[in-house]
Amino acid sequence: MAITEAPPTTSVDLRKVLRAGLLGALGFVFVATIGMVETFSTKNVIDPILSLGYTVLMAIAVWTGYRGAKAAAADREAGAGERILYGSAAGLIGGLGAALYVIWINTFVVREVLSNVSPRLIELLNLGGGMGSGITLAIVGGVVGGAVGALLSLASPLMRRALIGSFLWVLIVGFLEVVISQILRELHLGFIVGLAIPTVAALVLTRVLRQGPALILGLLASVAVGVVAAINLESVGLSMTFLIDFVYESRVGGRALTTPAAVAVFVLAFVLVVVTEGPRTRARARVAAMDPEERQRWLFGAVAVFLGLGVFLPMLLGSVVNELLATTGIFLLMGLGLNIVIGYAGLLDLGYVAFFAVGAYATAILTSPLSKVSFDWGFIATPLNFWEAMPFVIVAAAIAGILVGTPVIRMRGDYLAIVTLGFGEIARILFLSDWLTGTTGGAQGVSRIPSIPLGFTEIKGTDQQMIFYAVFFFVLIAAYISWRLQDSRTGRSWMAMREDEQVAETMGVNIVRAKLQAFVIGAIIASFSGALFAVKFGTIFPASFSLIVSITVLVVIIVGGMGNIPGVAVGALVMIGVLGGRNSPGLLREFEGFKLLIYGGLLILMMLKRPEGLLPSRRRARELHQDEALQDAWLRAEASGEDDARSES
Amino acid sequence: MQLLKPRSFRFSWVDTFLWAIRIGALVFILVGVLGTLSKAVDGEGLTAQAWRELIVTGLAQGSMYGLIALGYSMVYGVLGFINFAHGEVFMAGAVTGFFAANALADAGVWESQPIVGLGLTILVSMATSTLVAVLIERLAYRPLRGAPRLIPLITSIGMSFFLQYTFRGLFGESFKSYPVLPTVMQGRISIFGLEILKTQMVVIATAAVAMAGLYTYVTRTRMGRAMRAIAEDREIAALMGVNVNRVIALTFAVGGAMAGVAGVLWALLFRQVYFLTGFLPGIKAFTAAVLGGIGNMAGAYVGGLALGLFESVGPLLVLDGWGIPSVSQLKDVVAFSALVLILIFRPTGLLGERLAVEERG
Amino acid sequence: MNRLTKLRHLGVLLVVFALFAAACGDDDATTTTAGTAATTTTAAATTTTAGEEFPPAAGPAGGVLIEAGAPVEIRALQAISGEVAFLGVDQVRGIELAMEDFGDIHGHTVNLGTVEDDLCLGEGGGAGATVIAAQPGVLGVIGTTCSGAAVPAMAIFNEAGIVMISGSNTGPSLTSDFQGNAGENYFPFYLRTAHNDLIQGGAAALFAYDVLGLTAVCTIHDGDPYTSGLAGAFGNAFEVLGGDIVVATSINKGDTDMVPVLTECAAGAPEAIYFPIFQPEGDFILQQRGGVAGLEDVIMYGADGLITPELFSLPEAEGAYFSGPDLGFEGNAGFTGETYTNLVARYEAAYGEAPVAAFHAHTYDATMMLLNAIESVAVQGPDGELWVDRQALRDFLYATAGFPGVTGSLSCDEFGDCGANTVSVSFNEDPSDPQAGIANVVFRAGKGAGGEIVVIDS
Repeated sequence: MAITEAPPTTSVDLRKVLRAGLLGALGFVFVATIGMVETFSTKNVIDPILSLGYTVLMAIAVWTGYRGAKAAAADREAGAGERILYGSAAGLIGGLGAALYVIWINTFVVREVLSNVSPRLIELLNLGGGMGSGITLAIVGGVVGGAVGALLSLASPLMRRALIGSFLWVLIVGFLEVVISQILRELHLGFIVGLAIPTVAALVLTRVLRQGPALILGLLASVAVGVVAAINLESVGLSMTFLIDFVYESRVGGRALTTPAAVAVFVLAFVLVVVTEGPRTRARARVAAMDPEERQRWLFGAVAVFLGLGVFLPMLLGSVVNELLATTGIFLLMGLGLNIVIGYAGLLDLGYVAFFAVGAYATAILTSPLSKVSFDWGFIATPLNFWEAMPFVIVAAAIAGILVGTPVIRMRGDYLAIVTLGFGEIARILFLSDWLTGTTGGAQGVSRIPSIPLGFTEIKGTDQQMIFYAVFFFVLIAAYISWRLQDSRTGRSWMAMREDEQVAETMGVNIVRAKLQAFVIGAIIASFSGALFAVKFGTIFPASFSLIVSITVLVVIIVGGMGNIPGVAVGALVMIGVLGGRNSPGLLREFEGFKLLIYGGLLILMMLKRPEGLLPSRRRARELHQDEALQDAWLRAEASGEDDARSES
Repeated sequence: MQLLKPRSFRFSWVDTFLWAIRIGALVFILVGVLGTLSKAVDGEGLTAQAWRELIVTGLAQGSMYGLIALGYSMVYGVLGFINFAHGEVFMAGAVTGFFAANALADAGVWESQPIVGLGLTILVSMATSTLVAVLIERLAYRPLRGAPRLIPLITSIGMSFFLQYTFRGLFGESFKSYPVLPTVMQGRISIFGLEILKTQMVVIATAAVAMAGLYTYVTRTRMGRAMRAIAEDREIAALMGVNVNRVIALTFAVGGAMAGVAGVLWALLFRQVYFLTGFLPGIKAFTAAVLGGIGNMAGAYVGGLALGLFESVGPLLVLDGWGIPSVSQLKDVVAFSALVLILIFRPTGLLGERLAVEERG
Repeated sequence: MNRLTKLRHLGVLLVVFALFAAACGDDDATTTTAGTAATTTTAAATTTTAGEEFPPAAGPAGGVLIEAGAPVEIRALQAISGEVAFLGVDQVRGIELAMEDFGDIHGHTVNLGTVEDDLCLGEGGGAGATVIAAQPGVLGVIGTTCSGAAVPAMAIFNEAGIVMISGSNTGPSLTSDFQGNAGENYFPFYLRTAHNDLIQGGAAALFAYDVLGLTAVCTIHDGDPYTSGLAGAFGNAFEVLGGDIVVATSINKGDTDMVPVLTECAAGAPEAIYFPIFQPEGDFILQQRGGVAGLEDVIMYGADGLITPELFSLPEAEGAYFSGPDLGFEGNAGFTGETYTNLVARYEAAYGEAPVAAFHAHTYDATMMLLNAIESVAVQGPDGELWVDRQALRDFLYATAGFPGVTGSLSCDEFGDCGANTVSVSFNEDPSDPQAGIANVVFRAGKGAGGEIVVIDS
């Protein structure tokens, strides 16, 4: 019997609607009780009418309605009226739950146990009035939000994405006031011209010339011309300060979006999303349909664009973003190294920070004039400069890699994890210890780490743009090493070892050598990261080298998409740049207080919904969704009439 | 054609290195101990009383590590991954136990009827920890049942952060001080001529009782047998009629309950708890579980005791003899080094591992 | 891989190199010197009423032109999250109260903007400083909370010419060793109104040696720069006086079991244990001391990280001493004449709780100093503009002498130490009244002319 589509049911699964409502109420209670509503109420999204706190509550209501409407529409035809009905119903249930909560906190003093349920929160939820208005607000807000959510579910996916996306853009432009103001303020003609020249040249040359030395030289020349032009035209400022005053206005506690600006951003984003949808899908289809040769050219072009952006964007983006990008780059560098250890070689290393620390301390001790370690070999004497210290740093990292790698060679998966975690902690404590203070500076750390000399100029730790270039340079080196290793003999032996160690050994792979190579290369890359970290901050303290850093790097590569380089980059951008790592603030400074809560929740959600990462390698995505793929294949086989063979087995 | 070289020729330099570490470690420890002993002979070192205190403290701390390690070990044995969030399960019990203890203290029960007070607090703590453990299993781990090992690991890391900061949001970030110990529990008691703090005795005894109870449960009851069956081979157990989901939830529940007990014991010894209390003990407990033999319940407990002893006695026994300053700072170095060395000497942990069929090898 | 693709890869690398080398020269205009960005003057230079050119030529660090009606911009960089948030938040309140008291500067309001978080880490200090330095016209910053965060922050602020005054950094390396040598992390644009830990260590040691008559002390720090620095300063001073540090050891943050470290101390038979650490480790040490043989009669001696009502109310804290910045500001009046008593009352009214530590007062004074300096150095333009030269601002601050502050009379030495540098030791007699314990000062000392410790009779 062939499987046909399930017959449409006529009754709505009311339980799902109920569940949506209850989840909404739970969300409301959670967000209010942990203090998020109160903290966010000081940040205005638009004008005095909409604070972030209320926005979050509204979002919960809308989401509840959306879920309710989806439940109503599951497996059946549901018209607009029905959806709105069930969406509002779900919102109503949520609102009732919220109202119960409002009654509860108004009646009882729970502050002794739940310390963030403060009088201010009660005031906010009551909208300034008494309990009655709080109840009304909860119920009405729930129903209205539910209806809006239902309407959203009615919209086409494109419309929905456009609406939600535009709203998010309004939020983002509001939050990024410092960054955007700086960009607009420091905008100069040089950047635009500098970027335009190589772009135009690239477009022309790739059409005209065949691949080869001529093409490369031509591109190089155009880039050089662009950079020279940028330098010379730097002083020609494009005064966009008028725009700043239009978009933002001063408010107590910071600057927020003006209403006309908010509307403008919303409309602009909406239009852009809708209008570019068609071209974007077409472009995606074209890329997917390319043959390997063409795809390589496209990839080459993409890499070239990326490099160009890396050079020119920092001139535009201002110091705040550059600082963030530099920190992101440092973590990206570590991510690339850890990607080799875990992603390629399959060795679960939870103590990666040890190598980071070795790199940082080696650089600091050898280059700082205040360091207590000194030697003088005639042709070379401390304090060394950055480049002179590099070989020592690499050797130190390699030794560390061997020291960590050798005892764990025979250990299996999770033993490896905990032992490397232990090594990470041992390293940090040794660097902190009073015992080794004579070398490492102990709890006081090492200061006055000098800038990186570069011929006629230098890369100062405080110059965020130059630091970014330095980080970018090392990232490119590491990415290149990563990329070459992937298809090399070593890389393939790692892949074999990762799949099944014993079989690999039987086939002739030298496991010892492979593992040690992985550790050493990973250690060296991490030490680059540490060296840059030391120069960027000019002083290092042992507290910066904790277990949290190892975990952060691991999360970066898993969330980004393990095993592939663009994935690691995306992971670093999102986790460090946008959200901010454990020790460094990210782009969205508003969420500082709840950053780790969001971090944790995001991790859980991602692993449940998209474990292959944000930008997965296709192989990994296939691996992880294997069950679904198999099931799809089975269903397809069924439908096409191979039932007889199936029913026999 | 021979693809494998005969064993006798494979004595590689790795093995040499490992032997060097073994010998070097033994020499290091010996010289350290000798140094400490010579200091004692000179009259400079610690008194015998001091050593006894250190051992007892180590056992007390280790008992708690052992209780928490049970949760890690059981989950690893059954599901094959490290549940990073287990430290937060422990913390949840400790923090909610605080509210119970406070309420009992306000009602006067804490002081007047300490056994009842303590018992109720432990019950509340166990209930919370069990609830949290079962919830996280149901919401975050069950959907990931078949995934490669790293994925639930990352989920558990996320869950750990989430729980920490949820508790911070709910109950605030200040330290929660348990009420002053009931007078009957203050001071020392003499056992077998050994003078130890009453709280330490309570901790060691309660942990041992809990452990014994758990052991009986797992070996004697049907549910316990089902747990062991799933730990052995999940597919076959399912075919034999074991409700896998229910038993796995039970595993988490039992691990959570043990962690809940540990939470109150911790508070008895240290009094201060807050939302980050669980992080470090969680890591130490997992270390203890591996030390004793992962998947092995008795191993978890023994590993916990061993780790506690290494931490408390190790620095002063070994490092001090070498003349290293600030040895107490290097406590964790000793603990983790002990882990590495034990795994080098005995790769499957002190009491050997017990893993499911698909995890082995 | 064929030669062509190899060449391509090589080319890519060369591109990178070339870009890098070429891009090196253009770092001038894009470094964030907010000062220079804001010095774009209007086309015609007008004259002030005094007949001089306005705005005057900028000094080496640049200057800031504040348009008519625009606010004077200052910022704060404090630890408002994390374990020392109580110190950071306390200080932000001090800043707000000072701004309220000082009022406008030549008719321009003073704007604090968003308080940046220094996370009590170097990374946070650097990131926060970048954000602040990116905003135009910031004349001064009040911060940081932790000495570790101050160093990367000052590297950025110093280049931008932005003055930073701290009300709670105590690390000696940020200023000097009082012997005329600049500290390792000294920056010309940095000042502080808090004390230098050499003074606290020295005063604490003097109290232990002279008053308590101790000769054998064990010190315990917790691995962070402040506590290890203070323990070290105490140890050095104590040994110079003639005492003996029998054991100098440390714990790690997060440790709970203190019996081993206390046993280590006990092995040296100390008469006192100086543990200038934070909670909860301090609590654990006090609570577990009773369980260690040999320490029954030892005197417990902490520092200002532990001067909180929660700790003072512990029964085990009875009889313990605590060194810290002097809190006896009752008789003092700040720059605008506001008495400290009044200030505390206003603090409680505005924020619902009593001040937690001393640093809000230091920060109050720091803000006053900054605002006063801006007002004094500003040149008024004919149309209501203000011009402030950064170097002049810094020099004026460094020349501070006898500035009336709620923490005492403030004078800045050549390395930026402006604090009254008065340290007191409190004695916790009765845990049931923690506030009285905190106020129970049994010893007071300050910095003498030559950098030595002089006892102050109260």
